[in-house]
Amino acid sequence: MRFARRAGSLSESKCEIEMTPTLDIIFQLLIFFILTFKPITEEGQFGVNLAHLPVGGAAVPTVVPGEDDQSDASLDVELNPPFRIRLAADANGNLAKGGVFFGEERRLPSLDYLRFELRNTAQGFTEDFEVVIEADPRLRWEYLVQAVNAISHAGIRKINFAAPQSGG
Amino acid sequence: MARRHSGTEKVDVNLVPMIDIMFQLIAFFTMLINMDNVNRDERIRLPIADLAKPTEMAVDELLTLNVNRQGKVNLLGDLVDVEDDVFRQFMIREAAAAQREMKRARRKIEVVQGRPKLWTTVMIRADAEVEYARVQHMIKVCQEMGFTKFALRATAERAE
Repeated sequence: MRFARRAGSLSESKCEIEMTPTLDIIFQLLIFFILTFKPITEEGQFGVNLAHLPVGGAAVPTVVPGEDDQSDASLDVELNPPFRIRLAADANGNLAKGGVFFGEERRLPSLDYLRFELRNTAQGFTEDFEVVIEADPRLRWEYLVQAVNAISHAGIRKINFAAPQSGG
Repeated sequence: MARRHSGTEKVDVNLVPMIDIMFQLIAFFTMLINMDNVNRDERIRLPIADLAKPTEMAVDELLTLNVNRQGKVNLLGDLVDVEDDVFRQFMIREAAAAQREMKRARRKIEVVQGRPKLWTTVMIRADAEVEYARVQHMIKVCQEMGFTKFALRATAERAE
């Protein structure tokens, strides 16, 4: 009898777990994640191999969009003289009007023309073709990247940066 | 009487579905956290280039350098001018650390122009408006320390 009574009292007692602190923490975690949430902006890159220090004012890098080129560019530079593109800046650091010099003399109206001109110039030899970009030191970085982008569009994978040239 | 009695009954709110949903939301946000972003300085407005598509790069070691529009590099929260000696000292330390790691991994260290060719890829996240001369100077300092691999960061679309 005694045993039965004890069993009965145990089954009737209700064990309640306090949920409020748990809910508080969960809400705080949720608020933290919502506040710190930032949609990821996709970034890409142009892989560059700059194995040599600038010699005679020109660096010898190799640029390959999106990947690293492990090859050494020095041999190609010696065999194939690189094609020069000069970018001139205005007083505000923007690309000057007609400030894209294609080769020694020709001027291009904008960077958009660069890819078509280069494609025509490097017809069928894009693998060996090498371009050196000479830019005004005041020029904004975005124009350099746009130039690299335009040259990459033409299928040219070897792109060099010369040391900054003063004056435009 | 019966009604009054029923008013004193305890009403239990079933919290289980709410907790379930909250746990799911937390799991969702936790999974969205991208640990690759920890070295990104979100204040930097990257240049736009449609060919700069995100691709998998085979990288041994990565060193990210964030350069703002004034030409200052973010070194662990401190903004340092690229022409400042502090930046050079930082790169000397990074180069020494890279050499130690290469030795530990038993990698052969080539010497090019009297400088060790390090395995670290320097990722340059330069603001679109920074002067070219600043970035060029930064690249030159890195080259002098033996860094040869670089990745120029750009974005395919304008970030709002």
